[in-house]
Amino acid sequence: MTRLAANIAVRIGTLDLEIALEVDERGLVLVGPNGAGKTTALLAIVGARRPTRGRIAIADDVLFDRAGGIDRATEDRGLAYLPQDYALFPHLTAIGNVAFGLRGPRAERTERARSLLDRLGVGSVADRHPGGLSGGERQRVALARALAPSPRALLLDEPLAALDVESRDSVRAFLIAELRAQHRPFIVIAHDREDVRAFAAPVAVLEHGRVVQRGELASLEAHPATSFTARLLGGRSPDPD
Amino acid sequence: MRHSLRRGAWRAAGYALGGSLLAFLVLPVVALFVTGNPADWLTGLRNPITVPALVLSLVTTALSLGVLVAFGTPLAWWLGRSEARVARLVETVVQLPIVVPPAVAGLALLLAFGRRGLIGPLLEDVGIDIAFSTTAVVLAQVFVAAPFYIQAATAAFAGVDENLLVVARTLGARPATVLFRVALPLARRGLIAGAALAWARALGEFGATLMFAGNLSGRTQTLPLAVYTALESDVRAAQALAVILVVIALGIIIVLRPRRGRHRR
Repeated sequence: MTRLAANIAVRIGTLDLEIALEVDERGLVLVGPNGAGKTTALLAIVGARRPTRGRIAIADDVLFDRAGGIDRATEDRGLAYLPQDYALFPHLTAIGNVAFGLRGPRAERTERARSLLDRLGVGSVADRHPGGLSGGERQRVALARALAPSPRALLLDEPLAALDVESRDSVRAFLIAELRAQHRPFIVIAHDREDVRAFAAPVAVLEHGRVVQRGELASLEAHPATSFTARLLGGRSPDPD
Repeated sequence: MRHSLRRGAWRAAGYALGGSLLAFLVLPVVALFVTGNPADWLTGLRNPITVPALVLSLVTTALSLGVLVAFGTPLAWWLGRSEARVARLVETVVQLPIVVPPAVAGLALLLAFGRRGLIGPLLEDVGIDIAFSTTAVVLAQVFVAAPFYIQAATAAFAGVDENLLVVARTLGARPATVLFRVALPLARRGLIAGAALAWARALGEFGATLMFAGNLSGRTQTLPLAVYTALESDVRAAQALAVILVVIALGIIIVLRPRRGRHRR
């Protein structure tokens, strides 16, 4: 099983982030209040924010090691990143977006991009620009684009937040099935009780830049360590420490 | 009733004030066209100073625009993406040529690059004499036009969503590829607008050029300087040259007119 491990400290503005996360193919759901540092954690792992100390590795491959002087460029880390708004390139068509991360002759790239879009059920919008796509279509195109270069792990920032209520359930089911089929480590940020449950993966709770609790969903539900976790997962108040 | 009367009066006053200013802005341009006739302009165009000035203006503004885009784009990229305090300071410094009077800019350039200027002697040692040359014309244009391009380009780059750049990198693109395939296409409209404004400013450059480059036919006498020179001897020639400048300016405004964005999000 491939394992992605990050043990890092990041300081940006008023944010003081210090986390140790470990994730395998079962995935990890990252939850926490706004400003806790969830997005910054993902950006640091892909290499868009530089940690002040720590180490990031996937399997035996070290991506970042402050002490060892290793800081692999984002493009050499092989990690996929899906921002909250999907960040599709507005000047490219859906197929152009997916082909962006592919190498090789043009015809080959286009063909591979098309087959990926087909597989994710959005082949019919291949020639449209992102502006003309629905939320669910955008998410699928973004997912196809993220999967195109065969990333070693996926980092998803609230992939369900931009969706309207009607499409949310079906898109969520689709996303989860796709992530499971990938057999790659993934970290997904969620802020909704339903979403957290649906991913059925270990959960880490981030508050004020620290992981305050981690574990299986059931144990967090049974023994929430903070009032945030209790509110998020429903009902029960935190155990007195 | 009284309320709506008062509102009507305010509205009438508003129209009168705004309309007067508009008329004031348009009238001189109209005068430029209606006080002469095409036959006069053709005669004016045959004045021996016309063609050299036109050619010199086109050549020097093309050069200064090229210099500005080549050197200004990387600077604007940094200004648009950096959150460092020094970047905000540089942004302010870059605006200096807008508020400095052109004649002062010309004097300043002379004191910097002139034969007795700050680095003039150094340049002279390696055989470069800038003042009162075509190079001086280009430098004066770059100096006064730079803020227009850099400001617009900075705003354009700052408007590119950082997530797009991060995602592009995660898809395996090197920074240069990200610049050419994502940032530049998305900033394109702002870059073109800035370049057009800067070009218009360079084309109209008068004061700094006169001070720093002089008014030498064929070498430093650009269109605006030719208008000034022609006015002393042949008003028709001056007017013909002025019409050329205005037509170019109108062309730029038409190119830059506000349009709806092509990329919807």
